[in-house]
Amino acid sequence: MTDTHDNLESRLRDATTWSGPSPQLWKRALAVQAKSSSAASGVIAFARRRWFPLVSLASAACLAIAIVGPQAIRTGSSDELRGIGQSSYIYAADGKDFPRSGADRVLRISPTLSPTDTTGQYDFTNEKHLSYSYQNQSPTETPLATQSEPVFPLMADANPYVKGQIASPVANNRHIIHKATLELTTPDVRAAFLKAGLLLNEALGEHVQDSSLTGVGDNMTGALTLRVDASRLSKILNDLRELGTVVSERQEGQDVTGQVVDLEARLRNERRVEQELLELFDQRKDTPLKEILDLRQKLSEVRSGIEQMVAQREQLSRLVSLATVLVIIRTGEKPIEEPKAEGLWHYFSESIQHAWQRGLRGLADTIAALLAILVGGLIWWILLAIALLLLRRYVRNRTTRP
Amino acid sequence: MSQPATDETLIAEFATGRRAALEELARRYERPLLGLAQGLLNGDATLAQDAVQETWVRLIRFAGQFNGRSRFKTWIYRIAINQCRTLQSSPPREALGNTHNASDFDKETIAQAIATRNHASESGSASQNTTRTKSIFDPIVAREESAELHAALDRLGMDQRNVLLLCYHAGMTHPEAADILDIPLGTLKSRLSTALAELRRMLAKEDRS
Repeated sequence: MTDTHDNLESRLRDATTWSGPSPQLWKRALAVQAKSSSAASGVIAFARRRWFPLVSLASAACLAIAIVGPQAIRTGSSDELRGIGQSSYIYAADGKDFPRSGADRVLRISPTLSPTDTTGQYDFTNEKHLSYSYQNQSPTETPLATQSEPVFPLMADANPYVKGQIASPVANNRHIIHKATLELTTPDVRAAFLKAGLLLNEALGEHVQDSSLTGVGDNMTGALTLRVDASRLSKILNDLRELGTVVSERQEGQDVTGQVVDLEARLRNERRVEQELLELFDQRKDTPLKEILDLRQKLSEVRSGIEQMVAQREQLSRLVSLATVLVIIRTGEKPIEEPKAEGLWHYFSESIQHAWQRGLRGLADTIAALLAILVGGLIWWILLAIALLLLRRYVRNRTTRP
Repeated sequence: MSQPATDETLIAEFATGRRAALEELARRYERPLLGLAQGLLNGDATLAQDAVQETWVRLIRFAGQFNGRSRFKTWIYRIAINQCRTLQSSPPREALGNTHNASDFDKETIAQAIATRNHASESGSASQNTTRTKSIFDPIVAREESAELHAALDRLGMDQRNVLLLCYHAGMTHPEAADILDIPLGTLKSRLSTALAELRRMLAKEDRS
């Protein structure tokens, strides 16, 4: 028994005895420690460089610019957009349903274009932040009007013309007939129809030129032709847009400056002729009756011409001072409902379908919630992991160090 | 004749940058630590070297923080034991050839050697032939016995195994072992007694089988 006891003890001693030579592990440990120390000291030395705070600051600034910059640039570019266009169509589709045409049909403008430059082209293709999308006429097509029609009154959010901050430097000395067409959908056509009429200011000569309300129920359609003061056109359009969902909007301008100038010239000329005829009439008292009658006939024709031209000028003046807005209001198109199938089998299949959809939705909600917890709390998870790691290291160090 | 420097003095000197002090500590402790680590790591010499190297790394890193509240020997053995525990809990690595595995040997040869030795010890004869047989097969038998012992130790609980190996480790006293394992002396003794009995029972069972 003693022998066995001694034998076991000896075997245990042997089990904890290193039989070979010492492998000098302490030297390897010194090398390992020196390597890790040099790496750590390298990092510290790098951080202690004089230029390190400056570089860090510059990097942070670059990062901030990279994050904030694009938005600021986009906003700035919309402020830069000014200029002259011929006509425009506007669609209240907020981009996705906007009927984008090919690049050749989208006019482009240089930001440095001067307000009087009529050859500029507009680029709205990248202006995602605009409320409305624009589709201008192709430069190859005949313009609907002359070059002095400002396009930007249509732009609701980025255009200073709309906000009334800047008066159009081009339109001041020009005579432009404004026409706009606005198509709206609203559930309550009658209310919108009445509200549209109330937007007018009679004191400025604004009035409803024509109005009609046809149909009943879902097929009701209202149409109004409003004559509004040209200076209030943008405001009236903005107010009208509030009455429903804008389906389409079109605005065009006809520059009649040439006609007005021509008319004025002809009028001055005719008045000069009238004056000459009157002088001639006074000087020839003893002229034969036939000649007097001819002269009188001529004077009458000239005066008739003058009256026509004055009437034309007044008409043009009215057209220029009062813009025409055609508003079409109708109810939105409802989707055609499919006739419901009936019967017991249909009831069961519908119930199963609903249950399946509910289950899928529940699964999707659960996954979404888990993802939200995972992603939303990512910072906390990382912090928690770091804390646990540090705690583990601390506990381990505590156990290794007395 | 001058008194040799104590461990505590040497570690303090190393903390001030004297590399020779670490060399002296390594001369004193490296082989004992390797032996203990090998025992704790089921005879795996490679893992034992890893554990001891990591022990030295930690000693070098925290030398300046050694405050002398406990003995240096206790401190370094605690580090080594913790490193062994860490390596044991880490995924097993591929054996590098230093472990003792009975399957490496010709099992018939081993069986023959054991039978011959048992027969010799039973008959009490010490003939020339028997002596020559023992000298040939002894290393193989020793390896086989070592493998058996480690297998039995492995089946013991970690606490019992640590107590057993530490108490029979070269030059280790029971109070020192209790201090290293941070348990009362009485607990150590009772654990040692239980572990020894258990180990004997397991080895006897192995022999019978």
